[in-house]
Amino acid sequence: MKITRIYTKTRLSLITPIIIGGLTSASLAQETVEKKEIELDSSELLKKGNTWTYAASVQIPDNVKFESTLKDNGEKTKGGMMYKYEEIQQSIGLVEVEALERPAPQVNIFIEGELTKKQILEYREGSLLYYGTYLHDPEKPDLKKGMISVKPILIYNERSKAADKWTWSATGLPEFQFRVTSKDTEIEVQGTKYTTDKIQMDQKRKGSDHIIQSKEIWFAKGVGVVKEREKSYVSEGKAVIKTLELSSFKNSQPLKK
Amino acid sequence: MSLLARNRVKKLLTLIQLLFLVGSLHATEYSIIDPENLITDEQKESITKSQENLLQDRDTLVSYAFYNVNTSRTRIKLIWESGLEEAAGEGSSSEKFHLLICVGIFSSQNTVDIFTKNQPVLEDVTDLTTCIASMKQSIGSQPDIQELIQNSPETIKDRLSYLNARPNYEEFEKTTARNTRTEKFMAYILNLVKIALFIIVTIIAILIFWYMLASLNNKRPHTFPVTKPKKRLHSPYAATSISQIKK
Repeated sequence: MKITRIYTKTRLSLITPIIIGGLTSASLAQETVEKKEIELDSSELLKKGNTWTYAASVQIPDNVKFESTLKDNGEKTKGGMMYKYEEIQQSIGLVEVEALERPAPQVNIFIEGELTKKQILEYREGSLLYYGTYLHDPEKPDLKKGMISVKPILIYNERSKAADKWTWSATGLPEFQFRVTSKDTEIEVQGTKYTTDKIQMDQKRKGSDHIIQSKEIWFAKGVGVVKEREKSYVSEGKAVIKTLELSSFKNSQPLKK
Repeated sequence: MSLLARNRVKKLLTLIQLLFLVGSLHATEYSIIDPENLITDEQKESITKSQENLLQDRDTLVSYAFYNVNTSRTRIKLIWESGLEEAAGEGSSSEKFHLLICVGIFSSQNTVDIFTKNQPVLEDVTDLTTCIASMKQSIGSQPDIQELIQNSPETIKDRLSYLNARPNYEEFEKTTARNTRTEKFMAYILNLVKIALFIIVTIIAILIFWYMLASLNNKRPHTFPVTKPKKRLHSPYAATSISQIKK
């Protein structure tokens, strides 16, 4: 009987840690697996061919030197010179991104028909993630010159609530702070009404209250950015103000570079 | 009259106007402070409308002040604060959020300073200062006074919608986090209880099985050997230590 008792005790004393160990190692294994497998972006928003056409304007204060290459000669306003142009953003679908070690959607940006920049974005589970931008060199079109961050900047989150806030920072760079200032607000942009969430982005120097750049983004679910107002602060408190207003959103053939 | 003397007279007149203004402020919780008459009546009317809208939509009392070289923002701030104290003294002040948009009108570029009272208490103290700094820079980037008066209400409304809603949001987050922690803790306890129950039930089952086996064993008929003491050394009696087992 004594021997039997000991055997049972040993068996029992082994079972509990095995169960506990099994539970934890199972969850750890699952976590490791989740980290390795990132599904490719198959969202409707950034699918190949989706094209956003914006009526854009940029207002340059008087004390800022600006060499315009735009067709518009500019209009003198109280705030400085105002230039109007058309900006087209088009998704070309998934492209291999070396820094991310996987394909991700690329959005080409055309200003007055000329390709200028290529942005790497993803739209996952209602979140718009920005990875970085390549500047386009017409002489070397395949050259990828720019910055891609493995840790993306969250531009918009469908599930966010009013007064939600998030921050992105990296060593040596200013801090990006995002605040949701309104939810489900109806606005009219270029004659079309959208239900939008508004996000205020402030780019500020670390350890200081000085804002380098601020951006107001109006995001409509299923459409994307319908309006954007960007203020880049220069000397003497003045700002270069760039505005984008969506004039059309459709799926079309890729534009020639 | 020399230029220096003229400037001195101007400053004296402005000071008298300021004193008069302080005396005449009567339970006003938001106001337009313009001792040097730098803005027109139409602009004042536009500001008043936006102040009413901001109070209605954002529950915030926004005052505007305009000054030039003949006074300073420090003095303007003192006037504003004394106005609020007077309102408090008369029992007509509120605990609402107060903002003072203090605009210095100069030839090169207007300057904007923002002062606050009864500001919302946020978990991150830099959150409020960043919002105010962003508001200040945005309003200050307007090219002239007319644009500032026209566009500032939208900027203020926007930032206020975040600042006013943030304390409730933080409270909601705290409550959700607390509830989640409680739920996780309860789930952990429940798991421990399940494991303990499993072990206890197993032990009980083993004991029951053991008892049943033992009972079965006990119920079997047993034949005990009949022992007969063996006589030794011609003794008439047998010792119990030596026995012959006969089955």
